[in-house]
Amino acid sequence: MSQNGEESEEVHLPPVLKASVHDVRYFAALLRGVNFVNRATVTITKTGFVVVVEEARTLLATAYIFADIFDEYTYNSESPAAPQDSQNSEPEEEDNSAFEIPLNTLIECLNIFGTAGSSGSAAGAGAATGKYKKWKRGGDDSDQEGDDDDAHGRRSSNGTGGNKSIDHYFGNAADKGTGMRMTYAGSGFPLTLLIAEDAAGPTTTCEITTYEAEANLQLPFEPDRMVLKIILKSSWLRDALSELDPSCDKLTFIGNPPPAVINGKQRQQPRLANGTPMLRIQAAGTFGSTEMDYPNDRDVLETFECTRPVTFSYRFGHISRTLRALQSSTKTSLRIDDEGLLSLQFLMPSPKAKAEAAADAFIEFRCLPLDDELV
Amino acid sequence: MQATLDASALKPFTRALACLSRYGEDLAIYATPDSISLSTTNSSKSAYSRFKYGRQFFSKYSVTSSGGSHPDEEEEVAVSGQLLTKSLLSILRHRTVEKSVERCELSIVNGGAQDTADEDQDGLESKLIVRLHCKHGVVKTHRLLLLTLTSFLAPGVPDAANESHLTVGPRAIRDMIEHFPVPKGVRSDPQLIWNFGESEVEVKSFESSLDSKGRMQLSTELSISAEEFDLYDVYSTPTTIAFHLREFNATIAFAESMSLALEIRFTDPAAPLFIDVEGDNADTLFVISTSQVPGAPMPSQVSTNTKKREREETPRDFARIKKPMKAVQATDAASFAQADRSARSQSTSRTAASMPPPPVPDRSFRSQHETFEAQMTPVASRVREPLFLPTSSQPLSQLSAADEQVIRGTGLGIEDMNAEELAMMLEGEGEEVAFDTGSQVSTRPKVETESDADDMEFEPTQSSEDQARGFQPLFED
Repeated sequence: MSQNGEESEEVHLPPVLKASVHDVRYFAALLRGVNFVNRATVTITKTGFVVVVEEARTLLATAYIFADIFDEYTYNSESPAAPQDSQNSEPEEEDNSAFEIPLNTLIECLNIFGTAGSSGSAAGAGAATGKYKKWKRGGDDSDQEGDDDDAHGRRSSNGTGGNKSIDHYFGNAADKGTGMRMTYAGSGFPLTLLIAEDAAGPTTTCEITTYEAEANLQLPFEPDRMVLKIILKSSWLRDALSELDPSCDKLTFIGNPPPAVINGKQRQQPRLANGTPMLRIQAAGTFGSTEMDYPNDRDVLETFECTRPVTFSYRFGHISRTLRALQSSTKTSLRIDDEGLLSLQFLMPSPKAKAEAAADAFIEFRCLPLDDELV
Repeated sequence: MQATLDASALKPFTRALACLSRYGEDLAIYATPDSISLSTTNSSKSAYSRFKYGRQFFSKYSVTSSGGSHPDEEEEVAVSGQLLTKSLLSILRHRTVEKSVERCELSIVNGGAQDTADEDQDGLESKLIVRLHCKHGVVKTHRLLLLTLTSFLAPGVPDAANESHLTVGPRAIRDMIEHFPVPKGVRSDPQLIWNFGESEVEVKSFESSLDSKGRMQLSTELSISAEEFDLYDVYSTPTTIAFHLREFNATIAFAESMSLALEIRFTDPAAPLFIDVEGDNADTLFVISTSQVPGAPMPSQVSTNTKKREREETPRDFARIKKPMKAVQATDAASFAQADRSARSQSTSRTAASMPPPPVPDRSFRSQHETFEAQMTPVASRVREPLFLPTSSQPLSQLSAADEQVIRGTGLGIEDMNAEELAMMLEGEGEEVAFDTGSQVSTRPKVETESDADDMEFEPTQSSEDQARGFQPLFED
């Protein structure tokens, strides 16, 4: 690509997006959560951007990445009417830019130094501690030796006050994070990434071709049609899904309204008596079937709202697409509407969130039920 | 069948399954009111593994009659089935199980015996139901299809007569074996040659275990002192056997995880190797086929007898190198149950028939060994007929006609003597005569031949020659 032409362009018009972050791991983890289809639609807004991926016109995955996970985030509307500062955000602003991008390429570019976390152990607080150690070792191996001092210096100069929590989440490997500056000049221009490990090390410039965005599947979830709402720790769902045999093709969520709560004891009786659990995840495969019953225990299900008995089945292949996002998330909200549309929201803990009270990013999956389930 | 495992019992159970899964794909379950046995055989039937858990192993255990589903079965209640080891193992070995499961219920539901035994209710399929009771009241129920046990494979009962016994800790044996690299990736399965000598064990890699591209050009040889073994009792030294490592490694890994010693028994090259790992409430048996090493020094003794064991009746004259025996033979479940029951009635395990004689502390002298064996003869007499001089009245009829002629020609009149008379006659002048009692006369040749029981490459007629040699001192007079 001709650097000169691009720079002259930038002189004329400020780029639509300019974002930088000193550690790409969280950003990469969010992208990885929806990385099951290569072509993703990225919509840039003032407050952040939204990455949408769909599969088989049935499954829609959306990653909401808020501006405050970046150290610097500047959005300039492409429409000439509103070139303005990004800091004063107007909620009604519909003035967005959208493009399609090969998501896999973007993630690979972010991980070009091998420091954005491998796909198996995506950065996140939900995963087990053992994984961090493995991952950290991998990072150590791929890094050059003797740049610790530099990295320390860089980090303290970047100091966002959230270092402690980063260390907490990333097991002190944060020293070696990869910094990134991302620019997008506008429609028709490539997404340009400038990636550097530290000031003294090499720098990589990646230009990823963008495509014009096409209309995505729309699966609106209307809260007033919701029949089942569950909030639970992601680890419960993650364990449940990972325990299922991969040969399973169908996954069924069964919800039953909780019995009238008179006292704490009586709650569990009906479940044991007539075998109608509050929440049952059921799967059938080649070698047998699996049922997992969850009681209405605060330790398991933080919230359980169910208006009527619900049974909806989904293709296991689609539900298992959520595993990568599940692995890095802490909490899951599972909602099903009266037609069986499933909405799964995964809260992705931000390493900065603890210190700055910034909004955690989240990833949402929406999935249509299998039609043949006529219960 | 219903069995409940608590969290502490689940771990060894899972380890057992992990070990079984390294032996073979299919897991055969056979449950009787007193014990449940899980067994598997590898695809080439060269290795067999069986874990048998007594009812004490489980916090709850019951086998109830499966109703009218098997009316032809004997009064003995037994439940059996077969499934892929991996499908059960993947449930129990899942990383969340160890953390959260408090109780595990295993139950087998027979097809016809369900409460609602309607055929249209899918009730024809037997199922193994694994119910995991986790913390916080979460219940996970896995239903695995259970197939009918098609071929019931059981190891042949080893001949206890000429067995060698070794006892070794898992660490010690792993330290020996880890010197032999196992090529990864390919489904290669190296063999090791074990040469059990008087005071040393030599282990070396088997040449043919090079992979097809000849990449594993490393040949390793290792000598270990017999003192590394807690018990080292080799029937006849040197004995050389070879066997594959894959299943052996699985056994070691299991023994190591349970911190249990391995009791190894073997007889001849090409007869299977038995490994017992005895734990609390569990009786574990591994059988691995061995093969004869070409060119290895054969036990020097020469066979003289023709009748040893039933399984040798097949003529083997044409093949010097014997085909390794299968570790298992197909049996029917009923006979297994029979054996099981009879063994139980003797208040011992089924392996009782194959149990080694009680170990004798440090039998370093052959003669002690022989007398010990002689004492043991009531057990083995059925198999081992005395070679010659068998009864008091029998003449030397086993000699060939020519030899008999020679003996007659000597004019000593010994042709009509029986054992005692001969012994008496020899007694007077026996400076170089080695035997002086009837019992030793009968045991010595037996000992010499026993170790080579399977290698009948010589014609039976040579026995006369051998006996003639035995009488040599007599002729020199």
